[in-house]
Amino acid sequence: MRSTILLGITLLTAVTFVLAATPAAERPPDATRSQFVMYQEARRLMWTKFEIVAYGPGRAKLVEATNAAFEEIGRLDQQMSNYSETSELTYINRNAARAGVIVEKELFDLLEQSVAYSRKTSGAFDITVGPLMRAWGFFNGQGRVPEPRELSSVMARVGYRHLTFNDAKRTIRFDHDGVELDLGGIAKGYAVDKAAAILSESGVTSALITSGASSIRAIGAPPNQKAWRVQVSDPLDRSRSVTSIEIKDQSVSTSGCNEKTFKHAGKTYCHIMDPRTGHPIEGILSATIISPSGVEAEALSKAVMVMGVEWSKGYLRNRPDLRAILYYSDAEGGLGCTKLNL
Amino acid sequence: MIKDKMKLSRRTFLETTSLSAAGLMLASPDRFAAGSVDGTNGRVNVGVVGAGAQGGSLIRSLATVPNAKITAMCDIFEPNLKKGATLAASDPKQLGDYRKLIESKDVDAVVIATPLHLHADVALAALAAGKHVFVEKTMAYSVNQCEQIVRAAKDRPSLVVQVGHQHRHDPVIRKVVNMCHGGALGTVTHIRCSWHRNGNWRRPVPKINFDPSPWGYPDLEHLINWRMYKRYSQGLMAELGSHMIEIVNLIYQSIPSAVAGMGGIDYWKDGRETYDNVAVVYSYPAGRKAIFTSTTTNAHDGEKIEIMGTEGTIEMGWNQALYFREKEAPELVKADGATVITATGETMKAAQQSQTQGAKVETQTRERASAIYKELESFVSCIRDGKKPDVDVHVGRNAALSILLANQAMEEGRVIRF
Repeated sequence: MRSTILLGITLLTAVTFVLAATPAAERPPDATRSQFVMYQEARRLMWTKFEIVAYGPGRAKLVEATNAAFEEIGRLDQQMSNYSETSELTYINRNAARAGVIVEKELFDLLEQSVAYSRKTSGAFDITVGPLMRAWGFFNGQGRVPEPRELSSVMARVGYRHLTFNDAKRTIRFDHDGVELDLGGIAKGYAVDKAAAILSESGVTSALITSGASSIRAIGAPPNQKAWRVQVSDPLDRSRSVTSIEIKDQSVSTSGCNEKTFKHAGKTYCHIMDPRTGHPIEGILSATIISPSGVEAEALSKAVMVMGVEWSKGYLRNRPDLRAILYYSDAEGGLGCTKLNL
Repeated sequence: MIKDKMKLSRRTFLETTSLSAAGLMLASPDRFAAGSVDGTNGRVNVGVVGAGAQGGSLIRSLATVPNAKITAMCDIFEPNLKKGATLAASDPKQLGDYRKLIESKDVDAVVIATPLHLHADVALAALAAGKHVFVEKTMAYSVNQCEQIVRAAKDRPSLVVQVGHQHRHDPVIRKVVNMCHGGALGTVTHIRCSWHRNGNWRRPVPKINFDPSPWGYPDLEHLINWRMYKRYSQGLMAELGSHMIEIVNLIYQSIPSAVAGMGGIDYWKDGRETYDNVAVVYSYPAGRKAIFTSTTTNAHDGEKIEIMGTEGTIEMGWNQALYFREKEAPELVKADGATVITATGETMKAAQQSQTQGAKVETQTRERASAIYKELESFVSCIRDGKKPDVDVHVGRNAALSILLANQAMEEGRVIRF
C-alpha cells in the first residue's frame, strides 16, 4: 500500500484579501481617516501565521494594541494546544476520563459552545474527531485507510455525546477512555474574535486579523473604504481567485479539501472527517462562511463541508446574517458553486 | 533610589531557604484561628485585590483550583473588576476599596496583584487582619517594605504568606534545579539570563472616561502603564528580572554578594521613567557569576536561562530545557531528576547527541502543569493543611533584594555589595 499526503501550499492562502478596491465614489467623506497610518505585524502562533493589519491616527497606539492582541492569541495557544504538555487542554485530555476536571471559565464556555454547534449541525461539527484524524494518518503526515475493525474501535471514542458538562462545578468529564478534545477546528476563529475585541477596546476602528488560510476577522473598514474585500480562491487552483466578498465587523472562515489530502488506490481522501461515519467527506471542495462570529464561521465551515449543499440551504434560510459560498465538483466534472444569502 | 539597604546574613538566607525547601508543618494549633477557612467543608475563601493583566491570569487559574472560591474582588478600574468577576464565575463581591475586602468575613486569604508600590500596604493590612496572603512578585517596592512584610509574617506564624514567583512551580524548572543540585552539570559557575522583547512594553489604554487621580495616578495612561513610572514600579528588573534571579538564587542556594550594571532609557523616548535596556552582572559566593540582560528592542533569544557547569550546560525556557554535555565530560551520563545515572540504549543515544544538539529534559506529567495554577494550588493547600509554602517571605525578600540593589547599582553607577 502506498499512500501520499499532498499538503496544501500554505503560503498561498485559500482566502486572500486586498485593501484598496472599493471605487472612490463609494467612499465615505471622512477627512480624518485619510490621516491614518497603517501598522502590520505577523507572528507564528497556533501552528500558523497570524497577521494583523491595523489603521489608526498614531503608530505607537497601534503597536500597543497589536501587541496586546498577539499576547492574547499566545495565551490561547498555550491553553488550547494539543501539542504542549503544559496546556490546559492536554490536562483535560489526560484526566477527564477518570474524574471531572474543573475548566477555566472562558475555555469552559468555548467547549460548551462547540458542543452546541455539534447539536445544531446534527454532529457534523465535532471537537472529538482527533482519534479519527490520527487513525487516517492526518496527524503525522502518513495518510492511510484504517481497517474496519480499527475504525470501529476509534469511533467508540468519537462524538460529542461522550462529553458531560457540569455547569455548577464548571467541570467536564469523558465517559470513555481515549476520548480527546481537539480545538483545531475552532480555536483560530475564537482567537481572531478575541484579538478583535482587544483591538476594539483599545480604540482601533479599522483592522483585519488573519490566521493563515483559516479565519479572518474584520474590524470596520480600511480608511476611505466601505469594507474589507476578501478574495476566495479556486479550490482546485489556489493561485487563482474565483470570487470576492466584502466584510465589515464580521468573520470569514474557509475550509477546504485542498489543505491536506492523500491518495490511495486512485482515490483522493480529504482531511475533513464526517464524525458520524468516521470517513473523510466527499463532494464539497471548499466552504466559506461569513458570520458575525469567528467561532461560528469556523464551526459552520466544517459542518457545511460534511452536510452538503441542500442542508446548508435550509440552515442559512433561517439565518439572514450568515453568508456562504460552497464549491463542489458538478455532474460534468467541472467546478460547481452555490452562494447563499449573497 | 533605594536608601534602606537591609542587612541580610548569608546564614539567615540558608536557614530560611532550607526550611522552606523542606516544607515543614507549622506547629501552631490555631492555624486557622485568625483567617479561618470555611468551617464546614475546608474551602478557602479568597479575595483578589487587583484584577488587571496579571490579576486576570491569577483569577483564571484560581477559579479552577479545588477547595478555593473567589468570594470578593477589588479594583479601582471598573472594567477590570467586571472582567475579573466574569472570569471568577463565582459571583464575587465587587469592591473598589481593598480595606473593605480585607475586612470581609467571607475572605480567608488575600491575593494581591496590584501595581508594585501597593503590594506592601495591602499585604500588611491583610496580615494585620489575620488573613493569609499571596502577593505577586516582586514582593514589595522597597527593601524596607520587604522587611516589614517579613516581620509581620513572623509575628503571625499561623498565616500562610506566599510570593508569586510562579516559575519555581514550572515542572521543567523544578527538574532542572534538581539536576543542578544533583551534580548533572558538575560545578556551576556561570548563569546567563536574558529576557528580550521587541516592543514598547506598553499596554493599550482603553478609550474610557475614567479619572484615577484620587488614587494617585494623574490619568488612565499612568494607571494602565504603571510599569513605566518610577513612583509605582521598579521597571524591567522587578517585572522580568526577578523571575530569573529568583531561579539563580535557588540554583546557587545563595543571595548575590555583589551587583553592578548599566541601564538606560535608550530607545523608547516616550515619557517613560523606567529603563528600557538593562545589563546586570551579579557575583555570588565562591566566585560564581550570573548575568541578566533585558531589552525592549530585540526579541532574539527571548526568555532564556543558560546554566553553565564544568560537565555541561542547560539551556532552558519556562516550558522546555535542553542539556548539552561538555566535550570532556563522561559520555555515558544522563541526568535524570536529582541523580546522575549511567545511560543505556535510547538514553545513551540522547547523551551522545547532547554535545551538539542538546538532549531534551523530559517532564511528562499528568498534573495540571501551568505554573500559575500550581502556585495557587500550593497556596490553597498550604492554608488547608497548615504547611509552610516553598516560596515564602524569605524567598520573596531575597529575590526582591537582588533586583532592588541591582536597580540601585545602575542608578548610582557603582558596585553594590550585599
